[in-house]
Amino acid sequence: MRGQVTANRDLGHGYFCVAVEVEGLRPKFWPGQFFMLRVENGSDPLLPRAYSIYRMARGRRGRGARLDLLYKVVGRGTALLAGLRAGEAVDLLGPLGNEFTVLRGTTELLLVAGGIGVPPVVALAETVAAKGNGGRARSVRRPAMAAFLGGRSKADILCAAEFRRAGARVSVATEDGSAGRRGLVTDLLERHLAGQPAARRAIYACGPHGMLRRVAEVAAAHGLPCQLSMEAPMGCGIGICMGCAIPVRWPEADGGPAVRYRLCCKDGPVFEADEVVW
Amino acid sequence: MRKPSLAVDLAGLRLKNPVMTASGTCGYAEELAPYADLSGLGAVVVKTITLLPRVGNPAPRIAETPSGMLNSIGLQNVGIEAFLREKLPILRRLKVPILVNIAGKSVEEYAELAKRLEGVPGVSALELNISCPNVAGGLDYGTDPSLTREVVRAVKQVSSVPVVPKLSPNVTDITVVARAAADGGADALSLINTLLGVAIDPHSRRPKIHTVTGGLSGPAIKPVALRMVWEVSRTVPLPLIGIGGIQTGEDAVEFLLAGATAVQVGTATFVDPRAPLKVRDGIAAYCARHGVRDVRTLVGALQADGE
Repeated sequence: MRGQVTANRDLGHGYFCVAVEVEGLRPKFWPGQFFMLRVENGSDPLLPRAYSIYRMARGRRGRGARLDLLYKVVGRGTALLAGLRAGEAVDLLGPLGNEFTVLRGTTELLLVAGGIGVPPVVALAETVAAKGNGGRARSVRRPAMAAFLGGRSKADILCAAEFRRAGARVSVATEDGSAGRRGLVTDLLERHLAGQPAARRAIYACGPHGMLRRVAEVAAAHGLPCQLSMEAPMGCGIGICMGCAIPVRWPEADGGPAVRYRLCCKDGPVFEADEVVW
Repeated sequence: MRKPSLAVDLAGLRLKNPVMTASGTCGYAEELAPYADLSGLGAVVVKTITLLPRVGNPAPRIAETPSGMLNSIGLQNVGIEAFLREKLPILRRLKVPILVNIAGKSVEEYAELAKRLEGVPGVSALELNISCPNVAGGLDYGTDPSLTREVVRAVKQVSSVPVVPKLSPNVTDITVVARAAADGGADALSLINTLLGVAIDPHSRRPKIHTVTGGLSGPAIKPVALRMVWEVSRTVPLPLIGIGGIQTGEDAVEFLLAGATAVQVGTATFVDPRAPLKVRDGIAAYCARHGVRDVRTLVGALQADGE
């Protein structure tokens, strides 16, 4: 499908937020889902890129949908997107992939976001604030939320205000100490877990591979359910190129290998932390 | 002018148009169903099937390169058993010819796979993957003329459907392998598979894909593919299926002019799931624009003065 850019805000330090109007698209998604997006530029770059959904709302004049994507310029695809102005077109496919799920009876959500991994996590916080859960189940008692935001520097801490507005307690860690506590976001998570009485907690995280791995270790050490939004180079987003392999433990004892691959686009991008092989 | 006729005959297969999906770029068709109606194509080629399931290669498996991509998936597939049980029944509903692409580790494995597929309703032809660059032993067949002949002959002996070897471009002279495949009894030839390549991240000093080397596809390889189709079409009297960087109807027509009877659309489907259908419509538009009543008249119609 085609979309039309209506705004492309420069948030500074390479971060942008683009708003795209798409006719004929239902403004409905689950936190964690993504779109494949491509800026037409001949055959180079060739492939679309995956972008986590930050927000989605009804489009202008109540028609179609408006999609907000938060992104960081890291290569040619994102640089082209950053150069688009209102009125220009993009090619889109989505929403794709699975979503974070909030189990009934969870009393506290621990939301961990590293750098540009923030969109699906803040989408989850906003959905919980609006509906009391991840959006799937019927409304339950709204769980408490604690958000842990990390990045290299102050400029890499995004959406703190949005998390607060959604009712989350926010803690920040930066590697250079320019905002919040100096150190890693996973240190904040561990500190939080050490000082708190037992509650029915669950962890939801998105960020760099190393951060996710550490989050998975912390979750395992505390016996907490944990879902991770993973990333892998994707060619198509719909499971046909089979490029975005994530190694997982295979539960079925069918004589085959104990570690196999699931596809980030089709089987994910959200994976249970204890199934991923690091 | 009446609508141009797009139907072609490929080694006895009646195709309503010359456009197919390329192996490994449309899954088992069900993945594409929500986005594109594959029943509108001339044929569908299934991802390579092996005797046993294969888990495939570690990540990263793909990397983008200028106007193309490298892949090293490692023939991840469900294996022949699950294919016959779970995937083929869904594919049959498309009611288009299905080319089942197979790969073995030995001549015997190719023959065994062909036996398992012999007489199975819905299997219209076999495409032999003798040129996968990403598994040990995979390239040996496609680069060795006598092995190519042997594999094709072994499959032909047990198979009653058309047998279509898919040739590797990673050879000095593709016409030698094409001749060997013809000697073995091939009914048609698919060409080309991916070109071996490497992509490197200079900052991390690491290869961009796990296996270091991978197969290059996409518009970047189109001139190479066209050259090979043209060379083989002048050497071997078999129908050819042209593959390599086709994104538009005009790209497809170039392959027909070079001597291909049909074409496969691969990497373009990753960019747009409707790409094969757009190529089909593009061929029709070309025919209408140039007064071509029958697409078959384009096959091998390259007007070259400099030969």
